[in-house]
Amino acid sequence: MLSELKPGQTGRILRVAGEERLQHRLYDLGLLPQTEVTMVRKAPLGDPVELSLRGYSLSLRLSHAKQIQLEERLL
Amino acid sequence: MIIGLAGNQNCGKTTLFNGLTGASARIGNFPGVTVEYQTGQVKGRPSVTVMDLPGVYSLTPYSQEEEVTGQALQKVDGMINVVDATNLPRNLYLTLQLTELGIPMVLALNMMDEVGDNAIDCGKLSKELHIPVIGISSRKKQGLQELMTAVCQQVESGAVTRPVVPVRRGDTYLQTARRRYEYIEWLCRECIRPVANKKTTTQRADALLLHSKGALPLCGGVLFLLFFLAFGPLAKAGQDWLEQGFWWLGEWILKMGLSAPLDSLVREGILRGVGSVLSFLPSIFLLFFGLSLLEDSGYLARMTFLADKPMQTIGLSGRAVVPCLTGFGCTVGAVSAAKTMPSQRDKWLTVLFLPFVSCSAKLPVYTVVTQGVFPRFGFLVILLLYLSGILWGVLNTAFSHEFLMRGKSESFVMELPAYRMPDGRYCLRYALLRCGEFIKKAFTVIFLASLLIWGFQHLTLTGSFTFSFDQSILMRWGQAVAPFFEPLGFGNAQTAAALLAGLGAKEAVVSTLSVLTSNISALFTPLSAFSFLNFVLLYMPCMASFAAVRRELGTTSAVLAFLYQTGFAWLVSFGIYQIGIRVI
Repeated sequence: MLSELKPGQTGRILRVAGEERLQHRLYDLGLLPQTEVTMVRKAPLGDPVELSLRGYSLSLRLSHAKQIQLEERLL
Repeated sequence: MIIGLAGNQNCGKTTLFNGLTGASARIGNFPGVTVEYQTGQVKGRPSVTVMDLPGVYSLTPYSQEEEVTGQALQKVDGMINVVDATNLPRNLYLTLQLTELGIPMVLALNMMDEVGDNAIDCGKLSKELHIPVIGISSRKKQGLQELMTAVCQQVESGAVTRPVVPVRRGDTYLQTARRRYEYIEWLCRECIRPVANKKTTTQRADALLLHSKGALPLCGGVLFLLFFLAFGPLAKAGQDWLEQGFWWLGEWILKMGLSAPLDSLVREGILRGVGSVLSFLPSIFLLFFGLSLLEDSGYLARMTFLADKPMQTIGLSGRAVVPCLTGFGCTVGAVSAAKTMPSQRDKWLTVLFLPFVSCSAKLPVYTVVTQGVFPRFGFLVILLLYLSGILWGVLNTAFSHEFLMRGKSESFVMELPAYRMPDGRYCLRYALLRCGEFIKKAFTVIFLASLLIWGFQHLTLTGSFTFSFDQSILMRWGQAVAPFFEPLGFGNAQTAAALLAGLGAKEAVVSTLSVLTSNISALFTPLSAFSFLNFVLLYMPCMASFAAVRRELGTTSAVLAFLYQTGFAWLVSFGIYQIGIRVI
């Protein structure tokens, strides 16, 4: 899961789970299967997390990051 | 001709809107279903109206902002799609969706000054997207004329925009999104010349400013600085200076030799009422100036990032930080700031939280009463009041979250923008704009409230004029309400009258008390003073905030909220006083 990445690690998205509305939202933001995502950091209190993808940074709540499954092998 | 401004959040639409319409343009607020959008006339083109739409990432309705934008776009004759040139790949996704609407459109590449003129091949971009592409800088007001000419031309020539990546029948949402992003990747490779990565400064700054251990103390420090700026010696000096000015004005009016009732109306009614509010102008100015510096630099977005988790536990989102900070200045401004909350539920909880934040108008009440009653540790009492206000607010919001409005706060999806040097002139303009709104409020709502209070102070129940306060309606009402405050420790008519006057503006509590009694501290024991201050902190805020809350939540809810707040204030003060007299 994306939420399990450690800061500095990069993974490739396998699929996005969760309810359709959220799923579509994440697709719109560019979190598509095969997209490379880097975990930049977690907020000091552990939530939300800052991600880097497609050349921009995005902050996402953990509960949403948990819906994003990554490929087994990290990049 | 109506032109809509559409784009992602934080791409500079509102700055462009202000640049196009000018500060002097008439800005009308048209309440949408939930989120409002502004319209204004374009400077030098009176027949063209621009509409500033809420920032969205996609046209698929997810939040109410997106619904409002989608609906509003059906009414426009043409649109300007504002994109952040420093972040084209993500911004172009919306552009592709917009081309599917078929409305005449122009692409405005904002912040071109930051990427450099040669970084993006506008001609190629325009050819591929089949729409005019204009590089602009809304902050520096560059390229605005060219942009307006282009969009007017598009509308007048009846240009039809064609979808660049048409949705294929039978495609799933994912397939469409993927095809759009694949096209964008290709387009960016073709049109953007790779530039030296500006991100590194931001990354280095974030390594420090969002450090896992250092970030929270640092954020606390920044907040402290902001408050020190807005309520510290500098603001105090400005306030003293203004008060001095009003004093001179009063002296000048005195010399005009008006008849006694008229003189009293002008000096004690209007000048004192409006003046006591206007003297907070330095604080308001400094607070908004500081806030816009933080916002412009990109740090405010980080603050919402840091605060999201604690806010989540009471059902709010990190974005509520901005209205809450504004609330320390003025609840009215804060309620307007809550408009940008991502969902109706978030907006409700935030607006209901705001009255618990001690606005700057409550400070004079705290100061005057503590100086009289707690001469030695007044500062601590004031600090305690500020903190307990927040604590009560948190408990109340958590309660509403738990029992009245269950459900999660709207998803926290937010872009963390690159840091940049704040533009001092822009921040100054912004702060002055907010001051202008505040002054307008002082001369409308507060003016009327002062007039009313003065009337109640000087009219008897039979309608004749009096200078003896014992005969006045306000005092009579005070006497009538006083028993209600008896169990709280301050059941005298003067205090009750002052609290009634405070409904007009909180500062009026102090001005009324000082009119009704020569020695304020004689009215209180330390315990009853503390109970009184807690009541002032918690009971319903002034008329102006009532009006603001009513506009956001509707009449019934606003009335219910204020009755609730007053009841809650009574209970807290009751608890403090009754427990206090048994313990001490």
